[in-house]
Amino acid sequence: MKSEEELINDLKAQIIEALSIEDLTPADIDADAPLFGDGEGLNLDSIDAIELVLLIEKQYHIHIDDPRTRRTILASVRAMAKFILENQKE
Amino acid sequence: MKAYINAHGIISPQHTFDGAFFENGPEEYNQPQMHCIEPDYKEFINPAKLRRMSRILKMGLGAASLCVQRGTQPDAIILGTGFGCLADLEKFQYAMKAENEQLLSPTPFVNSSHNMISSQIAIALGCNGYNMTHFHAALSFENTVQDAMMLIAEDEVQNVLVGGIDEITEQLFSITDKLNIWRKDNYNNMNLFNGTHRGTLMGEGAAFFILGSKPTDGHSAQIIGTHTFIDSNTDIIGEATDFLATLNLTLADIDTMILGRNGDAENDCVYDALENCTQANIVHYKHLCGEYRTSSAFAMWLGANILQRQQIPQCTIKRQSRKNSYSNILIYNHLNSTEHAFTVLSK
Repeated sequence: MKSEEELINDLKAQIIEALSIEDLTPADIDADAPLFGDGEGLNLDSIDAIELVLLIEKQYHIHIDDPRTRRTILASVRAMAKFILENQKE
Repeated sequence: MKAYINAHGIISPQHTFDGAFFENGPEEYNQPQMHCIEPDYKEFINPAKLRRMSRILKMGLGAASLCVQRGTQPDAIILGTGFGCLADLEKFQYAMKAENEQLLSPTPFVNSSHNMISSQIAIALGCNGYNMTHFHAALSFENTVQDAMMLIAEDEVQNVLVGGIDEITEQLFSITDKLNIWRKDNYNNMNLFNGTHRGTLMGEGAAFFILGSKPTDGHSAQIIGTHTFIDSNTDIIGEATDFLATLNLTLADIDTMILGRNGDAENDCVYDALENCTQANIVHYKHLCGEYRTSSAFAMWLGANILQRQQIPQCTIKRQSRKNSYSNILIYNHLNSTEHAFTVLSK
């Protein structure tokens, strides 16, 4: 199983591809910065949130059962990585 | 019923976006598809929005933005398209099959509806007025123009943004190629009309116009009428004569005809009768933009430029018999000898 830092690097590249963010490289993304919100971090919106949920389901085969937890899981790249590590099967 | 063309913006397989086409001449292609030469969209579209847009949305918003920059904020937006946002529709449908209808990305689905382009333009321009998309195969653009002219005639609006837009996709090409409508050889677009061949070149484009009830200083032409009909056994000369009569014109008043010949022998013979019944200048355009459902929007752009510049681009002339001045242009295009459209532009 990958370490948290390795998974964060993978996720950054996957987010850039899934959301077609052309102007950023993985190095430009702060793993602890918020992903959503006006003028904050990547400045993503609700459609992007669905794309990120799909990314987790497709790439890591983890289904997010409770939609209310999405806000916490998708708070930052690090939060996504922690959730994946906690829920990924060996 | 008439409308003034007060501004235009166009993205096509030629250098039309920046006007370089008129200085540098046509772009040459040696393949069965003619793709648009696209500008740097970041100059026209918010980069944050750009990343989620498909190519046809970028083309539409780019051409519409240029048109509005040159003209004025419209009161209404009307668009014509033959196939709409086809690339995203294909992407969405492939994903449905591949993912067994599970875990589908929302972006291609949101972007796949026909009216997405006019909606995005309305949001970008902050235009809350009448918003309509016509998709009537090869008559889509003319119906769009007719809709705009009726709105203007009824004093509903002063300025309307109208456009014709379609995109090439590999899937559309491979499906329609089974109908043998695309060239298998002799791909060179500048030799499209040389010799007798089967098939034509696939094209695409986005052409937008600000139509106004009154002319502005920069206006290029006025549209005085359009006429569409669906019939496979029509007497084209009779139909044109009757249509022109409703505008108090005769075929002799038309100094230039822009015809939708596409290099396919079977398709092109439909134009022969009209071409041979007058001494008007004959202009072609599909070697510049290829064949697509709303290619007559490219023809309108060309016609508006001829009237404004009082000059016909050399590369479009098939026959030039009247050189002094250009006042009345008849655009005629058909699809499969069945869907026919006339438009008359005047100075």
